Amino acid sequence: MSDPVGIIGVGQTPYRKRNSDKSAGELARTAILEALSDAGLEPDAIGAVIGGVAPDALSGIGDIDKAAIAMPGKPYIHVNTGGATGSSALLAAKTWIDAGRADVVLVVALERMGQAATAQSIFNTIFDPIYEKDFVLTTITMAALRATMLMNRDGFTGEHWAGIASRNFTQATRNPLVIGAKARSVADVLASPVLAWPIHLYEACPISEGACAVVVARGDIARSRNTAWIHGTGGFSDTYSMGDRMHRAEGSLIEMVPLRRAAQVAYRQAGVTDPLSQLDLLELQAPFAIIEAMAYPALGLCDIDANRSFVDKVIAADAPIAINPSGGAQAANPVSATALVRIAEAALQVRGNAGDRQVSDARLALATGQGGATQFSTVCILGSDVP
Amino acid sequence: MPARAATSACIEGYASSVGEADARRSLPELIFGVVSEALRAAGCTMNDVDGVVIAAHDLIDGRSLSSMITGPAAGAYLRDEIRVSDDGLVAVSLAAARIQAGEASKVVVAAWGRVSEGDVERSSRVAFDPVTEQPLGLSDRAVSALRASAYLRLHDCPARDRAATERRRRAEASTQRPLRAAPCEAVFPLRPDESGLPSDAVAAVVLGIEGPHVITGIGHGTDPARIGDRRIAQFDGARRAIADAFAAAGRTPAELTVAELGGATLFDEAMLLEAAGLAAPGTGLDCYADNAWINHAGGAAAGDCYPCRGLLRMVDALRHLDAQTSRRPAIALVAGGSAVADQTAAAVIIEAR
Amino acid sequence: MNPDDLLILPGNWNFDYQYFAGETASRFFAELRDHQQILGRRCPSCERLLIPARSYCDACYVETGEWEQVGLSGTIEAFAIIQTQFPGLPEPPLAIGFVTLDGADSAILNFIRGIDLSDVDAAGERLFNEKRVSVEFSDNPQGRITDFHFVLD
Repeated sequence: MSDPVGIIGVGQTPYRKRNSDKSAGELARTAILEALSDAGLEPDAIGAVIGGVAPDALSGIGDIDKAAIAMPGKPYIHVNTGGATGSSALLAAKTWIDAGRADVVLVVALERMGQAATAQSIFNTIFDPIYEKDFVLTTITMAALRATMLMNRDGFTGEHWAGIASRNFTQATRNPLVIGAKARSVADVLASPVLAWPIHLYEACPISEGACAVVVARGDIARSRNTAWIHGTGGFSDTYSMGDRMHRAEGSLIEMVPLRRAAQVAYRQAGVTDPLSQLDLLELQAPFAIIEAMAYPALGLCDIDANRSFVDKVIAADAPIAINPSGGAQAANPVSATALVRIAEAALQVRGNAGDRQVSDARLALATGQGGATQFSTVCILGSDVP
Repeated sequence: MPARAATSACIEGYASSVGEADARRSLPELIFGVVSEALRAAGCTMNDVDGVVIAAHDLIDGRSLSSMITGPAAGAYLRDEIRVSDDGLVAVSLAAARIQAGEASKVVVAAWGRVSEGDVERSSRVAFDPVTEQPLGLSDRAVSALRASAYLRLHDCPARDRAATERRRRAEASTQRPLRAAPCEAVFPLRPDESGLPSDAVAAVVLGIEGPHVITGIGHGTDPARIGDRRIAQFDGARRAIADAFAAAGRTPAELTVAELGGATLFDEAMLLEAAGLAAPGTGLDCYADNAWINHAGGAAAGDCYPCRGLLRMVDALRHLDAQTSRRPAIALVAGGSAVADQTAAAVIIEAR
Repeated sequence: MNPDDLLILPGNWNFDYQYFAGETASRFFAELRDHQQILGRRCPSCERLLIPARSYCDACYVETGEWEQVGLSGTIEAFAIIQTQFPGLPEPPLAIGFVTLDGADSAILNFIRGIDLSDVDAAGERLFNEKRVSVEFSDNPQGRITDFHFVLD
């Protein structure tokens, strides 16, 4: 428990719409071998494996993780918290090590949604079948609902959402793992068809497949390596009902209460009192621009009434913190893996291994995870120094 | 590696509900009811709880991200909640790890499955390999049958009928009513009275740092994925999980006073007995029939639904521990498997203080 | 290997479910269908009137108590205008919104009808500026959530 825990290896497949030539196990294996090699470990050093896949319907195979990720002979658990799965899995790995169950845990998240014909109609089935199934609730319309609330509260316009999207897509061109990355201007985004007003096609993340693997180790093993140390973590869930989150005392739907609380816990653990100056970069799980916009005040980077002006600065490339150097979840969103990818990218950054997308002097990074209709939130803070 | 105890997790309260379809309650309401009862049994309220660990399966719940709607029913509101898509014992293990790691001091664990809402057996089919297994009609029940056939090839089973009768007797005694519905259709060579009773099931335990029952050992094991790659008449993963749990607890099978093996059918339960070292190979059915302290409430015959199964067995074990009055220290083993067809297994050793 | 030999197998997921709404939700729908009333239940702890009616408050983790009717007018909290056909879902264009009906402490989701959606930006502008709606009931109630919808005042 007092021995710190860190990430000593990272592996990722490229993220693309479809991998017609690979089985799910092959995708996972690519990422796993890369992570083990990065960690300088053989498979027999792994004490437990934690898999992340959600939801089953996207791959069309039930419990796909069991064949693709689980390793015979090694303790294995399957974490499923929707979009936050990859980060929840990592938090579970830290718990496992802190509990003394293993010294090294392999976390693998796999997305096989290239096999789905209709991702959004699958996403419709996450909503309440009794009260809400009849409406066109999908992750896109769910984002649109929040967008209109934000526009109403803060005066955001469609240009803001397009500006955030444009910045992320352009940033992704420096990430060789985002296959087909294309810079998009604000005008490009606004000219693309409207999916659910005010969300345009070019603001929505593309369908992405891929796998991400991370090796987590106890301090005595991690100390001898180039490690991304876990400085703080937090995870909170919220009520399902969006209608219940409109007016409550704890904070409305657009205040991302679970993210705020997760950040507060993580900041306390990490000794972060002034995030904007202490953090060097953010990797946000924000498959839609509006989720990114809501995250800034929730993470304590600005007050709610300064939200719009903070976003203005981000769009003008004038923010005092690097945001989504990987391009973020907007450029590539392999649903099961995406939250782990944010952590993997943050780990690469603080270890100085982020290639073309390296933020200079990155020593402290924050990664977020989001699941459900902004219902599950995680925060993970990684640093170059031993905590 | 076996779990080293840091702060041991204890069970402070438990509850379960197993029965037929009840249209008066939605799934979240069923969950709310059982979790509330477990909290009452633990003498606390949800306000005292640090976090929630859930075991639930999207296909069984018919919702692609089940814990969105069901999580709050188990207490996830503005709490640290995580869901495993595995058997309930895995959720117990992860919850216990949170306590052992010092991250929490009170955690709700809940698991459920409601056969009346969806076709669980049909859902199980899509977990098998689409190219080499699905076209041949593999399902969880088919695998149980394959396992039984391999076992029957290796062993004469003179105790087969006796074990089935005894299991049924225990189930009827524990549910305190005749088993109304017929157990589910059996795939040959399994017989209908060797199956489990598909039911609407919810179970919950409250784990904490004080309580009458201590979890002294936890283990996990994993078999190969493809059925053809497994030693089908063995439960290798479960064997490893149980051995690790015993090692962590510093106990041996001979010291057990309660054993609850979470298998879908009588043969699965008997084979788990052998994997646990409680019976020599080929004698699992005899051992089952002769020892009322093993699956004393009838196991899956009294009501069953994945992924609640292992947690149901755990609640059975806790009830049994509470009822034991002998001077021997009361020690229980609970074991059960997860998808796909018990590819992974978990085991816990529980001791009464 | 010859790319033509790469095997891509078609598959189909077709699962049937029956979702038990429970007594509380069932009564909500029966009242809607038979009496054109929208009912909620109040949490005795936080005192919020929650609609749609549910049998427990997940924030306080206690059973809800009194059934109460809410007003048939309310305020739009959030809306979206759907342009695209999502497979298996109703045909666009459609407007949906979360509305807090007068007296309620939570918002309820339904279609917003009667707006010209052919110019989406204009429709969006309208929905920002005109936030008050009224409930309109269906002529052919089924005991489902679609037995009512919202119209701008």
